[in-house]
Amino acid sequence: MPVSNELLKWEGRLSAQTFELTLARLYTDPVFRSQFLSDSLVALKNCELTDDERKSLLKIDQAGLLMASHSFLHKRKKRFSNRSVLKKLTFKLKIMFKSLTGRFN
Amino acid sequence: MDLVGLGWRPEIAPAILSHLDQIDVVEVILDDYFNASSTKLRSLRTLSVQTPVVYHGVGLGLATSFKLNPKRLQNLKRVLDYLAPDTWSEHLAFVRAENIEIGHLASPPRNMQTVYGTLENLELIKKVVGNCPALENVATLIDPPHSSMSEPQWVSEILKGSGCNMLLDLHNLYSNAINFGFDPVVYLKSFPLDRVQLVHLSGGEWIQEPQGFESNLKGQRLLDDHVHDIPEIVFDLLGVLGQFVEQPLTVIIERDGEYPEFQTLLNQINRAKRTLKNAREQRTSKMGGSPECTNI
Repeated sequence: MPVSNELLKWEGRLSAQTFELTLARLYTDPVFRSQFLSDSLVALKNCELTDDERKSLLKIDQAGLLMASHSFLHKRKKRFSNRSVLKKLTFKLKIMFKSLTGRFN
Repeated sequence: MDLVGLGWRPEIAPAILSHLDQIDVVEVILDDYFNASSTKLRSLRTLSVQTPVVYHGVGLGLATSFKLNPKRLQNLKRVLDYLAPDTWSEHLAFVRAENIEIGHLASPPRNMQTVYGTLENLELIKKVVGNCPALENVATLIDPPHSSMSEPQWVSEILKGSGCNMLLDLHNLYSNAINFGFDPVVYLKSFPLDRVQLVHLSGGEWIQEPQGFESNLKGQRLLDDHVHDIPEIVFDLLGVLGQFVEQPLTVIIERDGEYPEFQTLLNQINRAKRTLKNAREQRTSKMGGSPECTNI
């Protein structure tokens, strides 16, 4: 399937983006996810989804949603904690370098 | 010629450097060098003089209907311009939607809309970076909603439309097959194997499904976590792949934590080398009736 100009203007982009945003919220927003799991229709009321998209979310693999969301949360926490450690280490190294070279500002 | 090596991680870097005689190739994570100083980038060049290096991206998130983040793309271009590698790879993953960061490699809905979005993003990558990454299949714990295609069909469409090669992660493939009720060997053969250039091997662990939610599965799912040893079946799948395809493969063992004795990783490298060697010999002895790749 060659990529053509037609493809670059493909229809349904906005709808696909709205769906992906809703899915990303389900993966990352615990309040929205909890509302969705207790009453999916109410939680999706304000989401501008097509009928097909809405139906697909109403029959979502709920166990999988919880497991995947938990895994993503774990990864986000790990990444954040790695960054914090790296920042602290960089800061300490800068202080050491300054004290060794006598470059105090 | 097939090559077998290891993912470059700071924790095992000294051990890798002192065992380069047993490691054919190392894989470096590109994203770790996006904000790197020129000294750090030069060290990568030095490494690539000592041993073959392949580069792997983990955060572009190109499988989406959203356009790629221009800053990420520029960071990628800067590093790739400097390193000018023969081969680099990225995941077919959904990582963010606008300003929502999922934080990891989610599987997008498998439909024509995400095929188009991914192809558009790959066109942009080709324009900015100058070439196309090998595309990696991702593991998923959830059957992605609003999907109208199987994973092999979805991957095939993207490879066909983009002309990119594939990085086949055999543990991701095994996890998806086993989690969603497919025979792993049949599932493997339904991917466009003639496009596989790179292979990942890793491990994972079984996790329990939460209580009280409907599921057609067996109460547990396999999580690909890269902190456990490679299961036997993944080596078996490598053997099947080695018998099935003609092209040379570059195989990388991924280990991201809970590192065993380095000898264990070397043993896994040797195991993968032996598996591929045997598979290639069996392929040669069967020549004349070579199998063909099929798509489902």
